[in-house]
Amino acid sequence: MKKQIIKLVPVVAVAIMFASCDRAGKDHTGRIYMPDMTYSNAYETYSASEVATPEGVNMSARKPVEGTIPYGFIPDDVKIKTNQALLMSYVAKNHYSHDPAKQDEEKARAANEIQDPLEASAENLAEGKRLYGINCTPCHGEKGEGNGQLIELPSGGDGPFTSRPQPYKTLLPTLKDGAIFYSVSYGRNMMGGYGFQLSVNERWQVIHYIKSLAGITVATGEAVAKTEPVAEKK
Amino acid sequence: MTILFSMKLENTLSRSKTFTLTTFLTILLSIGFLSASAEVDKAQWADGKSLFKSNCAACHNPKADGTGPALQGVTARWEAAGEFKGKSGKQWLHTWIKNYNDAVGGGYKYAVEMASSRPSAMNLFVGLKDEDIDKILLYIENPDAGGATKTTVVADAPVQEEKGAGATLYIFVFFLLLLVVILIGVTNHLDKIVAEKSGEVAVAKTPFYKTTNFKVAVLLLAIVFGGYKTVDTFTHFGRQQGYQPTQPIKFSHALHAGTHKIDCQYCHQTANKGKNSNIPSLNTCMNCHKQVSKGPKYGTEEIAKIYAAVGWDAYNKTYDQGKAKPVEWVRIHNLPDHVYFNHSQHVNAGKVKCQTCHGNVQDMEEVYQYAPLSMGWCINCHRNTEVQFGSNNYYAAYEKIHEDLKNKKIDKVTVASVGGTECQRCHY
Repeated sequence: MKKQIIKLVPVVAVAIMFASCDRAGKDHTGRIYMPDMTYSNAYETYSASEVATPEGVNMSARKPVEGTIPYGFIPDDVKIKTNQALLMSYVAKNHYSHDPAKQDEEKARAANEIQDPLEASAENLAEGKRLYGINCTPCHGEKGEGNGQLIELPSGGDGPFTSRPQPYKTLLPTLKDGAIFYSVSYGRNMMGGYGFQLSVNERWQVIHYIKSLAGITVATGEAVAKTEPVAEKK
Repeated sequence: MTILFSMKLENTLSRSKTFTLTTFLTILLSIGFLSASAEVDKAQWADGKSLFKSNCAACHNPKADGTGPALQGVTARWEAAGEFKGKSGKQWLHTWIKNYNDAVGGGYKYAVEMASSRPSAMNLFVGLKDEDIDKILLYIENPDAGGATKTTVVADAPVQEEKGAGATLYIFVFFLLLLVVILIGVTNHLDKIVAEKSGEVAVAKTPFYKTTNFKVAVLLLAIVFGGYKTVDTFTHFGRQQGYQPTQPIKFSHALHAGTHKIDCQYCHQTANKGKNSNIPSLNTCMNCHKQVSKGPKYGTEEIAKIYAAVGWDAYNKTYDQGKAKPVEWVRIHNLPDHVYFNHSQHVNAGKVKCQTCHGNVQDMEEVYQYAPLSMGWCINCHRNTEVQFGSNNYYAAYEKIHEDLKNKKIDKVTVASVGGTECQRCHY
């Protein structure tokens, strides 16, 4: 009997060895052959940096050097006569404040300074609809009536977001294009700004779509003539 | 009711007691009025609610702070501010609601105070009648009188997936083996008894574990099981399927994407633009959480972590960038350095649903890695997935394949047929 138990020892040992091959809990990433190939030595998106900034930020993503121009940027130049140039020049030329205390005056400034540069087309409208579905419907609702699923639960109760947006039909006719663009980009009252989530082009596409929801015909494309130089237009 | 009652009283009581009667009547009437206001006139309340929703709800909520302050108790607050220029606090409130400039210009102290309390000015509602304002105030003071209103949603806790299936199987097999051993023991014992009873001399049998057959069987089993386990363990090296790290903030995809049906790309908007799908910046969180400061499961605790990280002062509603610090989310999906993967190609051109690779994230309370992210898994999908050649304009450039499709030389186009299994597509 004793001998049999002794014989069992290696068997149990092997069994434990196999058992220990299993991953240890949900927080464990498992094993790898070559860590330097799996985990990049170069900085990957969102990886932490070993060197912190003087402010103590150790993100590998740093602010671009001052004067950097974004990819695809077209400078505000009289020789360039496309709508794209106009779109991009808004980013460079028109800096508006994020300060909620200055919201009203900045919005008024934008209303005077910015014109809708995007051509009215079926593609732009369709893309606007797609983007509206993703970014706006949670609050503004599918038809822009201000009854999205975060405002009114499908079950009928009040949703978690307690500020009900105004219906586009009553709101948009009172606003200039530039003012709408300001509100979409920088936010307005309880609405957050979408300048970080949507490109300039995408924002105008969304504006075209919400105007169609409000029953306003988009009369642009003519307002800013393609062939006219930007500088002369101003 | 009150009037009828008082009429009866008037009949029965003598006229000499007029004074006491009037007093009595006043008290009765006021009691009647009080009880009426406590019950809330349903029709007026419903009117008030719809008026509030169309005029005020963009900035105000009876209970929650928004662009404008939370309004419940507003009548009492203005009443408490007292009479001025012969108008009561409530009358001043009416003036304020119609055109706040009149109240401020009128010099009412509380109005001046309120006007400077918020960065954004209130809209003008000159068109509202006094009775409409009364209805609105009735709704504001009794927001729950309708009965059916719920302010918070309690999300059903999603059922955790059964992950212990493997363990149960092992236990089951163990018990079956145990049963076999016991049964063998029982039959042996019975054999012995039968042999003893029949008077036969028991032949010394070799025990079963010393037979060659048994030894061979054990050896074979060991090779098969050990071999399988070894190969399996080695193929799992470098893969993290099921990896479910604890995140610094208990963000629930089940609540946001499941219950509230917020699109994946609302937060991960670069999935259709760039190589990486972004981890949303706190700016995106604040689009909603500027207002929503309390969740159904953890209350204010987890949302307060966002506020701390973004430097948001929820009381004064201001940001302090000096206090902002990044949230250190734990990366779940990691491809080795020598593999190129591009989100926008899959989301935009391929029109692949997020759930195909990430699983039903909308049901996950805590996200785990759904797919193995192994090369075999990639290749399998590239071989089997049909490209939407007809409807998707992205593939218009593949003229020869379009021609072959037309001439029925080929009947379907997979990712592999447009070069999806070429080595250099992902390794270069």
